[in-house]
Amino acid sequence: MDEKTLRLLLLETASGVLENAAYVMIEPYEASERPAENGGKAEGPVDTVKASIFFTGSVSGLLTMTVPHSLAVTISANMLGQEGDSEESAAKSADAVGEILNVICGMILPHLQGSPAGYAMGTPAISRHESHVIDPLPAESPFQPVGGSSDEQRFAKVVTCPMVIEDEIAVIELFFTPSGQGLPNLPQLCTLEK
Amino acid sequence: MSYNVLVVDDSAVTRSIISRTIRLSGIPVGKILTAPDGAEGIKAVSGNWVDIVFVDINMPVLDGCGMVERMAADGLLNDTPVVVVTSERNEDRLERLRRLGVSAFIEKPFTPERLRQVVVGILGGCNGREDSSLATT
Repeated sequence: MDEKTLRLLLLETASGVLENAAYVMIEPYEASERPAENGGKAEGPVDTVKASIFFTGSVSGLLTMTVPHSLAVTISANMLGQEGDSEESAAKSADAVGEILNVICGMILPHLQGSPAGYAMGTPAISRHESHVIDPLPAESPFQPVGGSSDEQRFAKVVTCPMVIEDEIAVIELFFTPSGQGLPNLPQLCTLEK
Repeated sequence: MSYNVLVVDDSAVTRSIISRTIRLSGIPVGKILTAPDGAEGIKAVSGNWVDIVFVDINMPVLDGCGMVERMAADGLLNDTPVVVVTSERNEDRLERLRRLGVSAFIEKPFTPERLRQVVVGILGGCNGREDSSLATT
């Protein structure tokens, strides 16, 4: 499965999940439609929510989703059938993003693994970041440190899948472990992310 | 007669959605208990009269498979209907749960109508015990 196919799989899966579970509309991200002064990035730093899920199988890696906090609250409110500014929807906003990613991960894994069995996925870890610029563009280097700096904690970023949800930029990223390596540090990374 | 329900899921949002949908299902509901993982779920189902359990698979501490296994091995709990509500598509785990006698599977994301259909099928005595949409996919 090449990068383009993977990105399409992520976008279509995320669209279906977000539209059916959170009643929000998703559009593909087009850098050319964004203000040039930001280099195609999100409009200024925003508070963000990031969910991450590890998976193992014939391919092993990490799936992450980063959204602005305001969008996380909207997603939570829509899932709960509440007003956007309710106390409950704000309190459960990070959980809502984790649950959305959990469903996306469950749906794409059989495709990634090329098999309906023989793999496993973890539970979502959530982190919040203040004044963060969501970068919708692929990194120049495919290798990104995730949760640490040592070599064994580096993953190959295979796909960056930016999308526009309710006029805000969100990004799903897919990382694989370098060929032949397992995921011995996943629990520790998971703790770090929390 | 009203039914007591246990909802076990590590997502607070999902617990809320399932609880609300059951309340609106038209089935007479008594208590709705909730738990964030299988270990807490076992405590809840052991300490209360529960008529139906909704359980996720991927959870911390004790996952849904572990919880269902413990229920199946407990003579007091093995008749309680269990509905698995999950994003999991792994056939290994789904088959394991089928063998343990799970009453129904609901894929996430689910519609309120789908959940209501399963609840009514099981608690309303209308062949819900054989409902298994994932069993054939």
